[in-house]
Amino acid sequence: MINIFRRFFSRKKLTLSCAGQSDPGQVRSKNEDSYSILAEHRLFIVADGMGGHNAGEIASSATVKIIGDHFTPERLAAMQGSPQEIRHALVKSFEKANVIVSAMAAEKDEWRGMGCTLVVAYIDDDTLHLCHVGDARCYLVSEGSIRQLTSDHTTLVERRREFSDTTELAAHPQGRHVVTRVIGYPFPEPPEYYSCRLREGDRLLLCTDGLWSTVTEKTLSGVMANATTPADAVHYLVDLANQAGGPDNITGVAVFC
Amino acid sequence: MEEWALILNNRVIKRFTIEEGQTLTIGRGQDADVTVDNSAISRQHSSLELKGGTFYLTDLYSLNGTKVNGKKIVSAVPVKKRDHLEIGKFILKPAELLVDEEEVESFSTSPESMDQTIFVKPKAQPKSQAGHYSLVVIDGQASTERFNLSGIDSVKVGSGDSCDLIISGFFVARTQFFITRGQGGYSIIPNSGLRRVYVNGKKVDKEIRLKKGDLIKVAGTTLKLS
Repeated sequence: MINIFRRFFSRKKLTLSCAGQSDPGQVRSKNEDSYSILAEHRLFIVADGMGGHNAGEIASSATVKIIGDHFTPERLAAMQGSPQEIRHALVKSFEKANVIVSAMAAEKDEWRGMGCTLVVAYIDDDTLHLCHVGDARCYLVSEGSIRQLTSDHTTLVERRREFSDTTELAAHPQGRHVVTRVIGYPFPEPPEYYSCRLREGDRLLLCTDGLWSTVTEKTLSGVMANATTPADAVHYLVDLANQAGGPDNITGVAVFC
Repeated sequence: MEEWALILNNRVIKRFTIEEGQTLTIGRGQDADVTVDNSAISRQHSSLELKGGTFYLTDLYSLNGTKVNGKKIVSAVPVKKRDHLEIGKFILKPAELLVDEEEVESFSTSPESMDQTIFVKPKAQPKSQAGHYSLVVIDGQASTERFNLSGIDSVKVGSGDSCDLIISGFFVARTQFFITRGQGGYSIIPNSGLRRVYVNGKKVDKEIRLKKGDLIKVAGTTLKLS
């Protein structure tokens, strides 16, 4: 009897194909972005490190590993089908990364103040579960149109919510780079969670600001919608970012449903 | 209610609050009240108790020891706020005694270019939104009488071992509900399933905001958000 119900109400498990690419860009000597694709776990992680010396790279690579390790087979099995468990697991993984990276930052002078922005996507059957801090973004390209799913945790975006006149803010060159929520510092607000249903044909792009700030949303949409494979999409997007000057490290992970 | 901080190399790693009558364990393990993920800290390293207005620090047979003013301690020792307290490599200090350099307000690197991302601590939350929250067991049994919510963004509550707060009882689901931090306070998210959760006597089947004083009831256990 239970099996009949299950078949009626079972969610379709979307097949995913994915690829990622990370590039130091044209200006920076080091690449402090990190990413990880755990395809069989349907888990995608992108982080943009910050800090002096090579501390940003340490922070982002440690964070990506901590998040990946948190999702053990037991945890994934327990999460399946429960949006509340998934949300809890995502937030907890961010808390864990935050505590560990903060402690690491305190261990060495050259790591002092290191941190990273972070966006993590988990796809359970046909539902996207997203969690992020900072200005790493996730876009959804569906039926030819693009939507930014994450809102940047930056002073520019947060002040925009308070003030209707944004001309003064737009003139501030550093505004968009000033992040207010990151791994490595106590969260003033919790990591932001979002979820939505996905359909076959939908495409996701997780990326750092080195990509979204150098390629227009219209171009991102066009490339994501028209690319034959996720690898083609990220490869082309990284190229475009470099052609636009590549002032920052560039990272993108594309997931096709 | 007193706030304390754990500091490593002049950097605040964790903050927590302690109330009169409470004993909090500090350690690396998940079952410690205040968890610190650092290999130099034992699973159950030390405990801090506030009784009759006096703080007592105890070492829980840790590997790297607990020190008061440079001396290793074994059994419960009454401590004053200005004593130098060490838990492994960490310094335990009342938050009110933190000096400026121990709280990193903002950090900017010497940027290679103008495009460097920097972190800045946002404006302090208005007083009405900030505050210390705990889940207090009013009725029934749980893994702890008072669960401190300071610095925690999500809590899993139920009868299962993987829960942050374990509630005993035959009719409690392995994962019963979650308490999550949001803007200005906390919300309760019931886990989908057959067993029921009540807030102030009303059944809850979706996420709702909580306020201080709300009573959460599941099976024979009642918790209060205070």
